[in-house]
Amino acid sequence: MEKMKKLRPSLNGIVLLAAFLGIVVIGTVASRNFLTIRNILSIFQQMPEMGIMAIGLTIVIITGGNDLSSGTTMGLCAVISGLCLTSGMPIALAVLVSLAAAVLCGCLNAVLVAVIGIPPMIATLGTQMFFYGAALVLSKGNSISNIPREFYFLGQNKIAGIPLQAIILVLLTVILAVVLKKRVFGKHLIAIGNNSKASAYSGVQTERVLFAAYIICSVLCCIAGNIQVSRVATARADMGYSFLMPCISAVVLGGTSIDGGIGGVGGTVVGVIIFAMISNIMNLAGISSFWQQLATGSILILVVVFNKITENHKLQRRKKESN
Amino acid sequence: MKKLLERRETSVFLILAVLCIGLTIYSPTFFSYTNIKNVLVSNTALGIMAAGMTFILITAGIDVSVASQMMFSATWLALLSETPFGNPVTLVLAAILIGFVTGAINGFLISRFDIHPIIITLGTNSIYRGIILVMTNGRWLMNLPKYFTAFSKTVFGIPLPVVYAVLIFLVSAWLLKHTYFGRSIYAMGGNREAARYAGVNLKKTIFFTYTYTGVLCGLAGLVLDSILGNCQPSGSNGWEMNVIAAAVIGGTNILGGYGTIGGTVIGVLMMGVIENGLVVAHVPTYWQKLVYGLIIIVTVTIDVLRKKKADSKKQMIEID
Amino acid sequence: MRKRIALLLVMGMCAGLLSGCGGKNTAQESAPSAQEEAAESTEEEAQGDSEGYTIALIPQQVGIPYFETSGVWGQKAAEDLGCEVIYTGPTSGDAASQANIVQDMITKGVDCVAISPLDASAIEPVLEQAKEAGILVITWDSDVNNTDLREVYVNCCSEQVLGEHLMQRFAHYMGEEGDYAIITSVLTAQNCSAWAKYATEYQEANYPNMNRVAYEPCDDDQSKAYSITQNLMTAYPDLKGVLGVTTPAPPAAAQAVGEAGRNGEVIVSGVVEASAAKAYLEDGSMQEANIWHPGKLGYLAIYTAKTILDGGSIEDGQDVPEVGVVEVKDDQIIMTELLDITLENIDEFDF
Repeated sequence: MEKMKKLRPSLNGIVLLAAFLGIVVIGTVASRNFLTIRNILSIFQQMPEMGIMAIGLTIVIITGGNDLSSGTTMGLCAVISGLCLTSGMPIALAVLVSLAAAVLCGCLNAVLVAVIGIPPMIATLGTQMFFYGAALVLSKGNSISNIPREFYFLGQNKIAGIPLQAIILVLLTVILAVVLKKRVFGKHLIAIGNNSKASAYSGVQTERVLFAAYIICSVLCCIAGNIQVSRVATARADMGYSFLMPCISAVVLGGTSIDGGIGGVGGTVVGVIIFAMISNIMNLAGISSFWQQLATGSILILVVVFNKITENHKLQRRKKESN
Repeated sequence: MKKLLERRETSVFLILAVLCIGLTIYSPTFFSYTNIKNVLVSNTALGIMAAGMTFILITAGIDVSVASQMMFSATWLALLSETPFGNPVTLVLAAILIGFVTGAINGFLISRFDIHPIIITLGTNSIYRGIILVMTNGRWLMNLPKYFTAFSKTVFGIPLPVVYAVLIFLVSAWLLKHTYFGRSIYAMGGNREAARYAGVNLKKTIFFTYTYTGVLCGLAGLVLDSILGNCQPSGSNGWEMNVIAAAVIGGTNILGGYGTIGGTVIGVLMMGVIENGLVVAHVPTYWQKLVYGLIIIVTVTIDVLRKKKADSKKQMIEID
Repeated sequence: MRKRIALLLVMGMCAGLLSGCGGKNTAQESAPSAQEEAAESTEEEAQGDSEGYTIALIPQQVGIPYFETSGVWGQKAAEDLGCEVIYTGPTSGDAASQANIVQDMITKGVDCVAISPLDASAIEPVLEQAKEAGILVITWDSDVNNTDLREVYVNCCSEQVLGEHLMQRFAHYMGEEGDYAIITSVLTAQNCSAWAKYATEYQEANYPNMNRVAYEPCDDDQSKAYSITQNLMTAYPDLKGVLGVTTPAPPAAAQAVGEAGRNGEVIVSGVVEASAAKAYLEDGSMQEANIWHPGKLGYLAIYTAKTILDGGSIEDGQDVPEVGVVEVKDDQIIMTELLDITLENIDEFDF
């Protein structure tokens, strides 16, 4: 909620806010259980995994790239962390090992994209299968249970009544938002997204920045993976596999341009919350899950189209005024 | 000859040839009539969609709703065949019509509002899939009538689906090479602004591109249903990525401006041979996805590196 | 003019949202199944005072005929017994999203969660929450690892029994010898993996002349299962049988075998519904389908939930209406024998 204030009052922000409020109103009408503290808390226990992955994806998309391997990176890290945890490794070490794996995943993506120069969609499509394959090989397709109870804190604990993972999400969002707005690195990310060649000529170390972007994305996927492992006390290779499309949709819904150069993490989080609320409302109202697909697709298109219309409208008015 | 070697398709074709030869040596059954027929037939739907995807990628667009469009058509066709109106003629007409509608919706939204195609098609992807799932409640439509499965008969040793695919490839290649529409597509993907100044109607071109792909997806739905003899509305999830990968492996530039149907056919065969080869070469089950991903990464890397080398050579010549 | 268009779009958006969320009317027109009716009635129930219980019947995944049959029969049980049933589940095989649904059902305040867990351990943390919230938890179809979390397990048969039975029937047609392959759903699907594992173990112990040459996933996609079967026949020319442990596999395998003109040479059997098996049993490309009645299982799950909520219990040998005599072992309610569906008895089955 506090993130809403941080959104600059841009057009997209207003439309997004309207959609957000609209869904809250519908939810309140549709089910008396929707606007209860218990339910809000449970939404914030469910959505941070997707939220964290989506803000990582936002960073990559801002550079004009894309990371289709983010979902399977999450699954691979979940499996690695799960294997380490069940082998009796200390928790901190297990998480570190999975983070190291995430850095490697990010590096591989960055090498393919930044060094070799493969279009990001295709490079990460290949690594998507590669990481999923690796997760399958490591786990033999089995789900890894018997995760030590001490690890449950990450996904099942609450601090002052707020789920820990929601706090992590907020922290990460704030940090990345500050980096994007106030730091040189953030400006470089946006510059690359706007025009990679021009920014290279003006002294941005494109390769280095892209490496950082893909590594950040993979590391965030890894954090999301660890949270999910903790929340459901199980590690599976297919974790995060179904997150990819909703995450890209949420990034776009949040106002980040898929061509790069424009965007922010705050909007992405609102986008993820909107999707989480939709499925929550439908579950509460007892509506078949099939309708969820329809609803999320429609909302994505409606919001984007509406955005575009108002934008064009504004442009035209400005043109008239300048005439 | 030199020109042929320089083409992007050539390196992929060579990799494909090496793969095929290796597989044949490893397991002679790979190069048998039945196996080749199987590889071809089971990739016809993919190939037909990939032909459309090539058009879209050349315009620097993308369509992640192709699999949903195909299943949308496949499901409606299966439902149609359960009614008394079902006969071969109505099936074909319906396949074209349904594909036209789904493709035109994509095309309209993208061209009218000038929104990035991946966003629109991400949305329509879930909408089309959602509609058929809600309609059928996930029910499989079993035992399609004989006249439906007759579409995939084998005549004189040649499976009909392959014939359809070849026809569609020919028509698509002709459209791309020899029509104003095709030239507009290349012009647009090469340089949008320049194309606009040269008098290309961008909106119309985009609309036609997505509609054409929609029609191909509709037909792919017909072919898929007739091959399988039944329809699973929740099926072929995630095929859109295979379709995109096939086109790109075949040398189509995902950033627009370059691509050929011939290359896409090679890309489709590549995907089909890998899938088939993983089983034929007895690759252990858990390793298959990993090997699959690896082959794609390697193929694309080789392709990109070759292109880079060629480009730098060209630049040197220009400097000279 | 532009403003008016914008206004229209906002209205359209709201209408879209409303129809998406409260889309019961359109749903009823397009798919007049018991499921949508329940969506309506539970909505009413959520707002007004309730008579009877609300039971959430959660399958592993919606959109699979097997579970849809359970859902329809579950609604039938709801009508017969005067309670509300919400049938909802994840649209993909994602264990975490099933956990989310359970959590939402706890929020909704249902009286009972009857769940077929996608993952035997991933669901446990939320089931703990359900228990803490005083909600009755029962499992059906599949069980959880920590059996303290649920009251009873409505069981068709254990993974081991089914796996071994599948192999017995399959081996019978194979003549207890030759190469065979198993097609599973996705490599991460726990129940299918377990069936395949027990089937293989049983074969290794009892049929030394049989040899499992391949174990392939079909991603629950018929077209993939179809081409995998073709590939298997190429890769292993001596292949004598394909055992499908996920419902899309046997029909697709039979289609491929039939097309290759090898009916009877390559044996096809496995887990599949009668309706999907019928055509292939008739043309001889499939030999047998082994399954239980998924609808009756759903019915029994709801019946059991209602009985326990009323403070009663199911007795061993009790004759449950619509289902038949059930067996009770400790905290498991076991439905019936497995059904072996062949050409001779195919017409007896309605699912």
